[in-house]
Amino acid sequence: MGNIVLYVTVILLVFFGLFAILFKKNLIKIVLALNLIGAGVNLFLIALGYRGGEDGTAPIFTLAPELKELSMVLPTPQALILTNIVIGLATTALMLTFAIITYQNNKTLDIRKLKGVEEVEENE
Amino acid sequence: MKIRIASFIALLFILGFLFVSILPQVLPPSVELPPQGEIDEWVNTFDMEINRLGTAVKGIENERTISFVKNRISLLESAKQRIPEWHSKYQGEAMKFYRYVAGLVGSEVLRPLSGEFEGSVLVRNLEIYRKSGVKLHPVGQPLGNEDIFKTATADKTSISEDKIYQVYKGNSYTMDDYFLRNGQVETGSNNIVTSVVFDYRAFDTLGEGTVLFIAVSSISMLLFQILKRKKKGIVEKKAFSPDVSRIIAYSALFLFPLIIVFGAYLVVHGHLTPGGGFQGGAVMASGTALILVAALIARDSKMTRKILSVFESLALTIFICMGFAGMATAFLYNFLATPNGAFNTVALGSNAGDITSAGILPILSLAVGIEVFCGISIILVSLFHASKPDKGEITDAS
Repeated sequence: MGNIVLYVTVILLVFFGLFAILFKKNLIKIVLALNLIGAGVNLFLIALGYRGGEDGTAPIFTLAPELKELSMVLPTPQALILTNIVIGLATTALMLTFAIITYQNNKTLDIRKLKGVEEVEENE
Repeated sequence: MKIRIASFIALLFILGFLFVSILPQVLPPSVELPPQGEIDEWVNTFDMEINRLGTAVKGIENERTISFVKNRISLLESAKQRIPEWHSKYQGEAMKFYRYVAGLVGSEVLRPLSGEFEGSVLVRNLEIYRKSGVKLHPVGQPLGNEDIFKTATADKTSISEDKIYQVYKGNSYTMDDYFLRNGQVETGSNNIVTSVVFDYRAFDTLGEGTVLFIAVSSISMLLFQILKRKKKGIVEKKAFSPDVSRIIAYSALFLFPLIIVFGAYLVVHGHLTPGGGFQGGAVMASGTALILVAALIARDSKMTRKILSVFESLALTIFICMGFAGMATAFLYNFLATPNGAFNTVALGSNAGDITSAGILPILSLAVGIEVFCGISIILVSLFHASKPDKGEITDAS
């Protein structure tokens, strides 16, 4: 059942991230929303890679309690998430750099007021 | 607005589809009992093998071989009688389990007798297991097939299904189980995550380092003009100036060395304890963030960035050079981790580990640690200085 809670959290994180990307106007908030989706995906992979119930241990043998090999969690998702975190950090920094440059050029972070963006029809 | 709502709904549909497609993996699998015919078929298979062995025994003169084969016949018989039990016990996995037991028994029985059993089911199973490369030992206990049987039949009465099943589960052929079982032997690293990151998937890690390098380069290029402009005019905050609280400045000075030491510990012990190049590098870079908050890098960030970028490039170069050093076998081959070498002294199972074990992993970890530290530090310094207000914009310092 603990797994179900994790998966619901993943769904909520990705949902809020998508919502913020589509409906927020501030560039910084959009970058944060992308990070939120990334966090959801990371949590999803970690939750998929967990096994062993309450006996699940980290896949590290240094002073491991006993032969818990059968309940060690999967190492590959963790390695992938390590990759994802660093790449997510690099891309976030790049996006924030673009936000800085956008602000320098337009003196605003509101995507509706950027130069070159045509008026989107607001009439429903 | 309509477009956004429509795309939002579409994305929700995609998300829901993903969730539904994932659901079967998350929920426990529905159990389907195989038809009675399958059980009979397997009973027949076991019967057939027992008969074959019985006829084969008659042609053998060696006493030890005869007792060996007879022992195996009794094992097969006891296994045969328990097939219905296994069905109720291991339902979904029963089929694979039979194959495994048959292959296991067959490999032991038929090794001295190979040649006389062409086309036998057991020989076929044996071949399948040989080709699949399953190493028949759980971690911490290097076991041959014989030892598995000793473990499984320790009570001297019959095969203990639970133990065989445990061994079988341990030998189920998934990638992660392979890493867990052979990671210590093959890479000498106690931390399997590190052995995956820097050995099994080291090429992926090289790409990751390259992504970080490219991100840092592009950030430096994009912010070049802004940083140049900022450098000229503005009034910088200085350390120990009234702008920065002395508590913050002194605390940062006190904490920075500790953070660096902790990060270096994480990097160097990456193959033994939780940690590794990326984690340690990120921890060290948090020290840079602290220094920036305390405004200890105040006036000119150019020199800082230059030095850091030199070390970053050097670290990536070391990583690639270590990759080419093992080129005799393959790119990024762990050539230092030989069974009896100086760099692979780690024992199987849970142990305290050794700082010199794991071959080239600590070197790669160190290189990546330096690269991550320098890369994130450059990003932080650049962003920090670029996001400062221009000269005319400073209105309210408080």
